[in-house]
Amino acid sequence: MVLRSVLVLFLAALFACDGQIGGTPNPDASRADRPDIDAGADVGIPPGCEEAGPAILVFETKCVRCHRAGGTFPVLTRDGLADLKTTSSPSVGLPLLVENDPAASWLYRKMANLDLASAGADAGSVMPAGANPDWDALPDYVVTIRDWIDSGAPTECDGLPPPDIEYDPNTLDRDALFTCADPGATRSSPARIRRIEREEFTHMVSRRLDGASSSVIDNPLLVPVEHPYPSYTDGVSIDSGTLNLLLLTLPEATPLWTQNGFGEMGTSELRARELSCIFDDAAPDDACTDRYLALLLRRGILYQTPSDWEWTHTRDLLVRALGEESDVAERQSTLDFVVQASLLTAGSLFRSELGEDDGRLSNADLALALGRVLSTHPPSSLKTTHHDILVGDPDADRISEGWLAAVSEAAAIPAGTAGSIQDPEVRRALVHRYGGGVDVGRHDIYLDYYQRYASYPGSVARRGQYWIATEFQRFFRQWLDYDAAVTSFKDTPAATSRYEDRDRIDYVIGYLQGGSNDEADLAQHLDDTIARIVVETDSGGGNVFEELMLGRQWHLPATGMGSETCTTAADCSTMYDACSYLGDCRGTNERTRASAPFLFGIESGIPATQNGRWVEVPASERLGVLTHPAWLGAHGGNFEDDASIIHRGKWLRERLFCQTVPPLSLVEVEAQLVPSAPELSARDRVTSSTSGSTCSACHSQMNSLGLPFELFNHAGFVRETDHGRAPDGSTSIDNLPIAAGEDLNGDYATPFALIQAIASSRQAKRGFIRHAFRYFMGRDERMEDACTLTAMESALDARGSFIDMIAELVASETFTRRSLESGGDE
Amino acid sequence: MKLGRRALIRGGVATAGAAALSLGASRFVRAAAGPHAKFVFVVEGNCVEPVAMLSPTARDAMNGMLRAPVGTNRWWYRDYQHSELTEVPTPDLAEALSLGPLGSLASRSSVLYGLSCKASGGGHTPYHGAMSATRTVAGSPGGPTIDAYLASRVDAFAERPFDVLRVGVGDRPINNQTCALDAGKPAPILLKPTTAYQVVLGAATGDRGFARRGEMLAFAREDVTHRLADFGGPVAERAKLETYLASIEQVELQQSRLRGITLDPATLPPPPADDPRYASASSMDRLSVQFDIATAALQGGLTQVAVIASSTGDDFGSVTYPSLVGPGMPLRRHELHHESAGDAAIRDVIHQVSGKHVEYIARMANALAATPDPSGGTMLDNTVIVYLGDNGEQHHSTASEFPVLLVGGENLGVSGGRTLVYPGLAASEHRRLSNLWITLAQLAGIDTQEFGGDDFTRVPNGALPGLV
Repeated sequence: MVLRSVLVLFLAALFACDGQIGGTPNPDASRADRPDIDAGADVGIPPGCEEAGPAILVFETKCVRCHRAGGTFPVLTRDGLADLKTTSSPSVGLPLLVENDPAASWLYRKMANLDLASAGADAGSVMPAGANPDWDALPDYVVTIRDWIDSGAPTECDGLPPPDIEYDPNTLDRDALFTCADPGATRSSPARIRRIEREEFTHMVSRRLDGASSSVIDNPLLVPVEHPYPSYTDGVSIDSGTLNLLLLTLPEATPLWTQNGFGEMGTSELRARELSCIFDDAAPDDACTDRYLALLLRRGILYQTPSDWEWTHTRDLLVRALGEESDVAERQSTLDFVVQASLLTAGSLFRSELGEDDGRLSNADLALALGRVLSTHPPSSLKTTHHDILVGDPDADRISEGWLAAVSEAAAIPAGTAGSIQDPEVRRALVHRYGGGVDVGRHDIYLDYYQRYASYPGSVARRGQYWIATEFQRFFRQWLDYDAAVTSFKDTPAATSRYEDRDRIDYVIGYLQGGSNDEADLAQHLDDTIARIVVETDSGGGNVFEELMLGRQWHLPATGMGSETCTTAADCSTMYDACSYLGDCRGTNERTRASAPFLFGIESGIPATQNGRWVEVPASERLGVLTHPAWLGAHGGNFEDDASIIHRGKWLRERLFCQTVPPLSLVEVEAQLVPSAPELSARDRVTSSTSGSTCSACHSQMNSLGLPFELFNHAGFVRETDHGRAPDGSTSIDNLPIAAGEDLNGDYATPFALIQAIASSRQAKRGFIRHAFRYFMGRDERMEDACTLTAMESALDARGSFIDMIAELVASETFTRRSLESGGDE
Repeated sequence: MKLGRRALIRGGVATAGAAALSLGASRFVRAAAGPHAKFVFVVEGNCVEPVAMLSPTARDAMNGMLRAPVGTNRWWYRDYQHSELTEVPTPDLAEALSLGPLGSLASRSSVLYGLSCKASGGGHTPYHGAMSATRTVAGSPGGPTIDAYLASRVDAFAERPFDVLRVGVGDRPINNQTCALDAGKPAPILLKPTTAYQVVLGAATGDRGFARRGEMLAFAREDVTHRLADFGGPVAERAKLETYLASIEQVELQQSRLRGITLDPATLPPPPADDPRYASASSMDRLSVQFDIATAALQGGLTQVAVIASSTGDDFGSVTYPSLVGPGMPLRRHELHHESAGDAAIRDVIHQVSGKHVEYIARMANALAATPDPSGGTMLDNTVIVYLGDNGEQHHSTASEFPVLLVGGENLGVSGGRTLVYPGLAASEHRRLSNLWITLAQLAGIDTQEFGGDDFTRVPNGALPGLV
C-alpha cells in the first residue's frame, strides 16, 4: 500500500531528528512528505484529469482527513464527490454544489469565506478547519475549487494515482465494529517485525527503570510520539543517530554477562554449576563456551533458541575473541565485546511476528508476543535479586527461571500437547496468572524501584499493595495519558482553591511531581488506585470501567508525623520547625508533606502505612479518575486561567468517544487566548477566544466536553471561586455520535453528571475497549477485527474484569495468527 | 533605546542610530563567521560562585552599583539596583579569585553578571535546565540544550564527525542529565576518559576499543544481511531491517571517515596506557584529560561544538577533590559547600576548584590560539569558550544569577577584557541565560530571537545587548 510506504518514509524523517554524537542525518529524511497541493502541476496530473484532478487532490490533501466515510459530513473522497451535486447542507439547507456556479455552492462559500453570515447562525466555520481567511487574495486551493465548479465539477479521473489517505480507525462504523457478522471466519493480524523499545531493552539486559544502577534506561529506542502508543511498530526501525547513541549505551548493558557476578542476579546456582569456567579458565573448553553462549542467547539476547546461523555466527565471534586474548585478565573485555555485538543483531533488536507457513505464530514468537502484553521483561529474562524477597511473585518458587517463567514453560510444549501456549485456555490462564493480585512487597516494581517505593526487609512499602501486570499499568497511563502529571509546570498551583493561602501550598505540586523517599509521585498514586480497581473488579467487585469512572477509594500521599505536638510554633523545640495544621512540629519539607493531601480535598492526617494511604475522597468533589489530580493536571495548562478545557475535552473526544479532532498542523490562524484579566475565568477566555467562525470547527469538538472540569483548576485543586463568581461546571453537548442505541447529547450541570453518564455509556466503554485493543495489539483496529472486539466486550460485560477482557484478546486468532494479505504490501 | 553605562564608561557618545549600526555590523560578522564558529561549553556542576570571577576593578564598580558593597558576600543577586547594562573594562580579570590561570588571556576574556535562568528551577542542580533554559522534571529535559540546538541548525556543525562532542567527569560511564537533543531526549555525555579517547581519537591512534566498535558493527551488518537474504515478510517490514542495515553501514562509514582523518600527533593527548590521569581517583585529573581530548578534537576538525561537563546533574554530590582539601575538611563537594559559610579555608577550596576549571580552559585556549584556523586567524579567534555552573550562583541556587566567563571568539565579534553587569531580576532590562544562548546562536549564523521555555518571565527576547 502506498499509504504504508509513505508512513515509513515519514517516520524515517522523524527518526532523523533523533540526533547523534557524531555523523550526519539520515539522507532519506527529506523524502518524507507528500507533495503540497499548492505546488500545483508538480504533483503530476495525468491526461484527461486536468479539470477534476487538481480539485480531487485539494480535497484529499486538505479535507478527507475528516470528510470521509464514517467521518464528518460531507464525504469528500473520490467516491463521495459525485454525490455533492444532489446534496444540501443539513445545517443551512443550501445546495453543496451547483454546477458552473461557485457562488451558489455552499461548499465553495465555506472554503472562500463567502458571506457565511447570511446563511444564519448554523453556518459554521470557514473550511478547511483551521484555515485563516484573513487573506489578500484567494489561496490557490480555493481558486482550484472555484475553477472546478465553474467547469461543471467533473469527477471522472481514472489515471490519478491511488489516494494517500492516512488510515483513521475512528471513521469505522461504530455499531458494525462491535457486531460479529461471521464468527467462523479466520481472523488474523498483519505480519510484522517489531523493534523493541526503551523499557523493553532496559529489562532485556536486566537493568532497572529508575536508572539507579545504570543509565541504560536512557537508551535511544524511543517510539515516535506520533504513534498513539509505544507498542505501535509501523515504520519503527533504527536510524544512524539512534544507533550511535545505542552504541554508547551498550557498555552499561552487559555486566550481567561479563562480570563474574551472577550471584547478584539470582542465578548463582547456574554460575556455580555451569559457568564459572567462562570467567576463570584461561582456555575454556568447547562445552564451557557452548553452555555460556546458549544461556546468553536464550536468556539475554534472543529469548528463544537461536537459529543455526545465529549460533554459528556468534560462536565464531566468541571463539575468535577468546583466541585473541593474551591473558585471562582480558576475559571481561572479551565477553563485553561479544555481548555488545550480540545485542546489535536483528534477533536482539527486532522481534518476529511474521507467522509460520500456516500463519500461526511459532511457540517462541507467541511467547514473546504474550510476554509483551504483560511486561517489558522478556519471558525467562533473569531476575536480579535474591529469591526470598519476591515472596509475592506468582513465580516465587521458581525465581531462577526468570520473568514470566510459566510463559516460557508453555512455549516449550508443542502445539496439540496439553499445556502448550498454542492452547487459548493456556494463554487465558497465563494472563490471569500474571495479570494482578495483592502483594505487600510489590514484587512487580521491587527490582526497578526498590530503594524508593517498594518494600524491602525492615521497611514499609510506599506503594499500594495491589499490583497488576506492568504493561496493564502502562496501558492505563497511556490511555488516560497522565504521564504529564509529573512533568507539567503549574504556576501558583492552588490558585482559586480554598487552599490558596495555606502553608507550603505552592510546593505541593513539586513535591508530588518529584516524589520523595517517603511517598510515591502523583502519577504513581493514580497507578495504585487503578491497580486496586482492576484487581478488585477481577475478583467480582463490579465493572472495571464503571469503577474507573466512579471510584472514590484512592491511594493518597501520607502526611507522616512531626517531631512533637504543638499549638503554636513556640511549642516547637527544633530550630526552623513550625507548627503544622495537624498540630505537630515540622520543618519545611515535612510541612509540604502535610499539605499534599489538600490537592485531593483531604484535610486530615494520613497514616504512612500501606493501608492508611487508602482514603475515600469527598463525594461532593471527586468522582473517578477523570477528577483525579493526576489526570486533571496532565491535561491542565500552566496557569489556572489557561486552556485546560481544551486539553481535557480533547481527551474525552478521542479516548472515550473515538473521534478525531483535526490536528494542530492544519491550523493557520493564530490560536491564542485573549489576555488574562482579573475578571476573566478560564471558561471566559476559552469561550470568547474560540467562538469565532475560524475556530469553532475544531473547538466545538473539544470545548463542550472540557467545560465541566472547570470546577477544577489547572493543577486539579477544586476551585472555591472563579474570578469573582461561583465555579461553573455546566455544559451543553450537541455533537457526540449517536451509536450503540444511545445519545449522550444534552445538558449537564456538573462534571459528576457527565461522568455518571459516561460510566454507564456503551459507547464510552467501547472506546475503552478499542484503545485497549490498540495498545495491546500495537496497531489500529480494522473492521476485520469486529469479532475479536465483540468477544472482548462480552468478556468485559460478563464479569466486569479488565483481565478477562485482555485474556479474551490473547486467546483470539487475531493475536496468534498473522497474514501477509492483511498486513501489507506484498 | 536607552543609553547604557557601557557607553558612558567608555567615554563614547552613542546614539540610537549608532547602536543600530553596531547591530547591523554584528549581523555582517555573523553571516560571514557562522559556519566557521566553534563553541565550547564548560559546565561545572553545582554552581560557580559570582565572587570567583570578580576582579578588583569589577568589585569597585560593583560596590558603586549594589545596594550594599560586595564585602564578604559570595553572591549578591538581591542587591542589583541598576536599570541598564553596565560595562566595566577589567584588564585585571586574572586577579579574580578563580581567574588567575587566565594570565594573558584576560584581555581575551569577559565576565557576565546578572543573567538569570529561573525557568531552570535552580536547587542543587536543574539538570538540563541551564543549557536549555527549560525546566527538567522527573529527569526529562524540557527542550534542547544550546549545544544540540546549534548542531541541529548549522550544516557545518552536523557535517563534522561529531556534531557535538560531549565529554566530562562524574559517577557513571554516561551522564544524561545535562545535555538534551530535545524535550524528553537527553544527550549522553561520555564520562570515562578511556571511552572518550576510544570513540573520539581511537581511529587516529589505532586504539583497540575503536577497532572493536568496528568489529561489532561488521558483526551486526553480517547478521542483518543474512536475515534479509531469506526474509519472507511484507515489504514494509523488510524496510525496517533495510533501514537498520543502512544505519549500520552509515555508522561504519563514519568510522571509516574517522580512520581517514590524520591528526597532528603533537596535538594528541597520551593514550590511556601511558597517562595515569585516565584512571585517576581524582575527578580533576580525569577532567584534565577530557579537556585534552576535546582540544585535540577541535584542532583536528572532528567537531565544532564541545561540551565538557564537570560532575553535573546528580554527580555533583559525591565528587571529591583530594588534592585540594586540607586536613579535617570534608571531601565531597556537597559537604564542602554546606560547611563553607563558617570556614574561609573551605571557601578557598571551592574557589580553587573553579580555578582548576579555568586552568584547563586556559590550557585549551592557548592550544587553540596556537593553531591556525582554516577560515583565517587562529582557532581561538573563531572559538567562544563558555564557562558556567549548571545551577547558578550558589550551592542551593535560586537560579537568579549565572555568572559566565567567555574566552576567545574575536573573529565572531566577541571582545575581551571587560565585565558586563546586566540589571537584576526586578529590572525591565534584565536578561536571562537564554539571551546568551540566543546570542551564540546568532554568532553561529542562526536567525533566531528565541530560545528555551522561559518566555513567561517577560524579559526581552533576542541577543544580549553589548556582548558583540
